[in-house]
Amino acid sequence: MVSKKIVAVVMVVGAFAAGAYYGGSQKAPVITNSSAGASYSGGYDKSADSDAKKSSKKSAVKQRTEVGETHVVNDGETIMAAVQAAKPGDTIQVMPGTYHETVYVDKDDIRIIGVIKEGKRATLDGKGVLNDAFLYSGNNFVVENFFITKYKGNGVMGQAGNNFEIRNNIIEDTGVYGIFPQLGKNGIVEYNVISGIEDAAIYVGMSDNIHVAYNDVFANVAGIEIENSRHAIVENNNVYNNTGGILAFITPGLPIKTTYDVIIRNNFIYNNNHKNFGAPGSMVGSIPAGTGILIMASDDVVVEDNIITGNKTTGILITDHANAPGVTIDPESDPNPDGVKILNNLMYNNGYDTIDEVKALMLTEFKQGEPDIVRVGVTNDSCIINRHRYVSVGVNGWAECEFTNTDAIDSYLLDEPVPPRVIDPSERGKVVYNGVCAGCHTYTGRMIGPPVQIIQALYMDNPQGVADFIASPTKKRDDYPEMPPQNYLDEKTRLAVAEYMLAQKK
Amino acid sequence: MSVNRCYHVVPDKVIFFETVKIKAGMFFSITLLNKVLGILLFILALVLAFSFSVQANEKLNVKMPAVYQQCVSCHGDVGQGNNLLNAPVLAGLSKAYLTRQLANFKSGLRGSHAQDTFGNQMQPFAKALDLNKDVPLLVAYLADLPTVDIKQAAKGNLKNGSRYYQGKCGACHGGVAQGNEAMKAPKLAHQHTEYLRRQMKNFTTGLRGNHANDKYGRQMAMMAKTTSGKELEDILYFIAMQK
Repeated sequence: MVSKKIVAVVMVVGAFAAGAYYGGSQKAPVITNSSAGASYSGGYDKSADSDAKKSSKKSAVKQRTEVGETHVVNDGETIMAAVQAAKPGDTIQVMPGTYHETVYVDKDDIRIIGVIKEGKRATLDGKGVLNDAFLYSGNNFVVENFFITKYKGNGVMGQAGNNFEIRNNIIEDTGVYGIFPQLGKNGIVEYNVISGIEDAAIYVGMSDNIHVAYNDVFANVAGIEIENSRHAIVENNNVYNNTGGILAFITPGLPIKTTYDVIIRNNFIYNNNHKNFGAPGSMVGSIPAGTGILIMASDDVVVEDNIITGNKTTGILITDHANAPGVTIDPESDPNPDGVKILNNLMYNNGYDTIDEVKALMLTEFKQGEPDIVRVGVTNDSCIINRHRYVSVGVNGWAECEFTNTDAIDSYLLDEPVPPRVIDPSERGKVVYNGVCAGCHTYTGRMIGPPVQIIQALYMDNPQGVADFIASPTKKRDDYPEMPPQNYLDEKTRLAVAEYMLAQKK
Repeated sequence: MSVNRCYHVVPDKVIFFETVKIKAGMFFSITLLNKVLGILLFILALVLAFSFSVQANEKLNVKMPAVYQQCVSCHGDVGQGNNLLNAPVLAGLSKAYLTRQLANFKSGLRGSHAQDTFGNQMQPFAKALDLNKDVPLLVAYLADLPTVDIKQAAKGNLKNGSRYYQGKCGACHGGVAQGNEAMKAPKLAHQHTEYLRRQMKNFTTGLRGNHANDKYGRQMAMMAKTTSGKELEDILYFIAMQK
């Protein structure tokens, strides 16, 4: 009796599946030609942005009207000494050689250019001891042509500097982030070669109007991350052999709560099947190996004209916060990826060794096979063209996009650089918290460092204790990297940021 | 010898339970109290019988110090704890954590709140210990004992438990609940879920971690208040799944 019932159920399910399959294949698909049709207008309204000024010139950093002094740094000298001697408007040329230092740039309008002589570069070697190669908080900063290796934290990290250009650098095995502009507006990251990073090769954090192009990123946990950022274009990059290729998402618990208006186009995204070597339990440590593009909770992400092949879990994974492992919920962040727009992409040989969760999801649509596109959780107002080309799950109900390309959008960089960020003394704690601490600490979740909520419990009435710790941290947790000293911040600033941190509620 | 100890222990408990009843005036009727005591005695007997058999097991190369005899009836001869007696697992906890807790019970930082029934129960034992002589012997024995495999009855969502464990607990108690002495955070794996749940409630309601001088207890109380309900159950399930 029981077994008969089961057989009946199986037959009904089978009939449904067959119906879905044959029914689906008999309809002629709508083929959309992307060279015709409307162009996407983007999500950035220049006229509404008080920072944006009209001009015919385009660059992230202000064009110089007066050329400053040029300081030459030779092998055996330090770049930092040159930065100390420099005035805004000056250029620092670094000759080939090996430099073992951290370069802090808190002045505006400094350009640090490595001189490449017959293939020999200025090399910054952290020797596994130093944390950062370049830390800049000045505005209008340029860094070019370096070889950076063996730092524990970051190759190049921006801390609240606006208008930056980071290009032509080779970065190998430098810890947590290769290039990490945090809390910056109007910046370019291009022509860099980055590998061996245990979180993200390029991490655009809490920033606006960013252009990431022509980078070669491989053998990292995450290739390129657009995180809690808006108006970003990621194009013409070569992204392969990472755990996850290109990611646009919201990390819950950061001070800036949104990611939207991101265009991912014309990239090669292939064979991103690297074993995940991020810290277990951390958010990035939970990315399934074999993810070409990950869109988590971010809105209005356009995916167009990429070549996406050989990513074993899936080509494009779209998820809300609730279905993502290792992610805590932030009531202040919308957890759903809304307005995803998938235009034409070449997708081939993805999802050939996918995870059980995806297989189970496919069964709900009576599908089997190797998925190019997987959507899990809630999404609203998303659209796709030429969906019949892909093995997909979760996109059946999506609309046809009303446009077929993004040709109308050249760049989200501003015509004229934004005004330098001026920090009111009363805002010191906040800016340092957003620009420095939030790079590794979220309020409730595990990123690189422990959550702020836990720090609040440990130091509940002791901001001085936090200030002292950040000046000279000690290793306290086996499964977290050691915190780098923040002793380049003066004593007053350290106390201000400690007090600000302990007062946060989200 | 153990039997004598047993007789010694039980009258203490009788007095203790009556005190609680009069003081707090709740939880137990007299008949219920008698029943509970009956069950307790029965269990004690079982535990003792069981413990003799385990003691005979020669796999253990850690020698029990005499001063631990008085703990056996509740916490078990190999620190395995006893859920029915609300006695936590002690085996494999760090020396520093055990020492701190015994000192806290002795000084009254822990187990003083009138409603902390089981903490109240522990205090007289700790008060009788010499912190310099007895405690080092006890904690050296317990810290070296192998962890206990517990059949956990906990249920929950592992994925959700993992994300909130990592978000709220792991930074101090370790990614796999192994504890971290640098953070003064005890191991949570291999502990009874019921005990952990009760301590979370104690921290949340101010029965534990409420004393101005109990810095680490206050830290824990602050974090305990950030979770409850299904989220907490999932966290407990995640911990129960750690081996």
